[in-house]
Amino acid sequence: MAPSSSHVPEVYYDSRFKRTVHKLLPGQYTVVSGRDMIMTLLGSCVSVCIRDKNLGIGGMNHFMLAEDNRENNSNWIEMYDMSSTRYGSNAMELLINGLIKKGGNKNHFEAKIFGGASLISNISLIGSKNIALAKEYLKCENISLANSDVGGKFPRKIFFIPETGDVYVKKITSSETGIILEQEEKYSKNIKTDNAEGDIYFFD
Amino acid sequence: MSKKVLFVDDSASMRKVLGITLKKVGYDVETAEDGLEAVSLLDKHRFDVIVTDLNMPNMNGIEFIKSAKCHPNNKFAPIIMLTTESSEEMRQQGQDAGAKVWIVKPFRPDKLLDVLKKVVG
Repeated sequence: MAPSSSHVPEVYYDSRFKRTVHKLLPGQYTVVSGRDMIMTLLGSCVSVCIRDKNLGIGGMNHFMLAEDNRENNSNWIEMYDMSSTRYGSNAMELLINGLIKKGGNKNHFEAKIFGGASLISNISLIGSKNIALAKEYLKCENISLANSDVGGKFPRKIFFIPETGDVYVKKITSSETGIILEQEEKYSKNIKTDNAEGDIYFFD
Repeated sequence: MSKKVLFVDDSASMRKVLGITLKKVGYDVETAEDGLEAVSLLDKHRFDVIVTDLNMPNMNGIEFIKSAKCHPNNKFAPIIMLTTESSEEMRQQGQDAGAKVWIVKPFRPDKLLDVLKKVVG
């Protein structure tokens, strides 16, 4: 099965921002236009926000690479035989395709990366591997990185407004930290058993 | 003689991944970043197999397959779609346009090589 990144995020209205908010869970991605905005809670997971500067549309993904035993010193492209690498690069491709489908032009894309914190010492490497993959992917696709707020020990709550390009990073309450840990633990169990492999159809 | 593969994908990352995967086992690979560039390569080469993405700017994968199927040098080259799209409706479009195999990304490199072997012989 392919990663469960196609589930539709929950949508609510935020009266402070006066905007409709799409709330992303780990493994999801979405692209919005108009005044809509996207929010997510990040622990060691990474979210990449990509925006078409000319159109004012933008999207976000939210992913984590499954833990693996190989060193992170080679380029991710040479590690595509690993399910974790496939999973991360697919999260990037889905987001970029989502933008192109809504009329986005890659030459006008601008990206920002968030997350990848080291919340628990024994998975501290995961955060930095997630950040490295996102950065290398964007570099390879020639998409400029406008800004990033990554790493550290603390989780994040981010709000992305594609219309303006603004991203607000908020401090997290202790109850939200609990939610993040629970979400990410559940998600990381799922992707460990997920082989990151789509179906193959033969037409004759 | 090594078999000649045309790989069409707007993602530079995917072009690199495929390049590494296919060259390792001896395929001769040409790449294009959209359907338009791919059509220009059809004029210059005769391919044993074509692997193409679907969502691409300028000319998408389905339109590209349709032109490849009418191209004098390459109309018999089997076509494999390699895409993030998995809906039945899109697959039907691919089949109608003349694709032989539909692979949903992310793909396992060893599985792709198996499919290529089956298709190219």
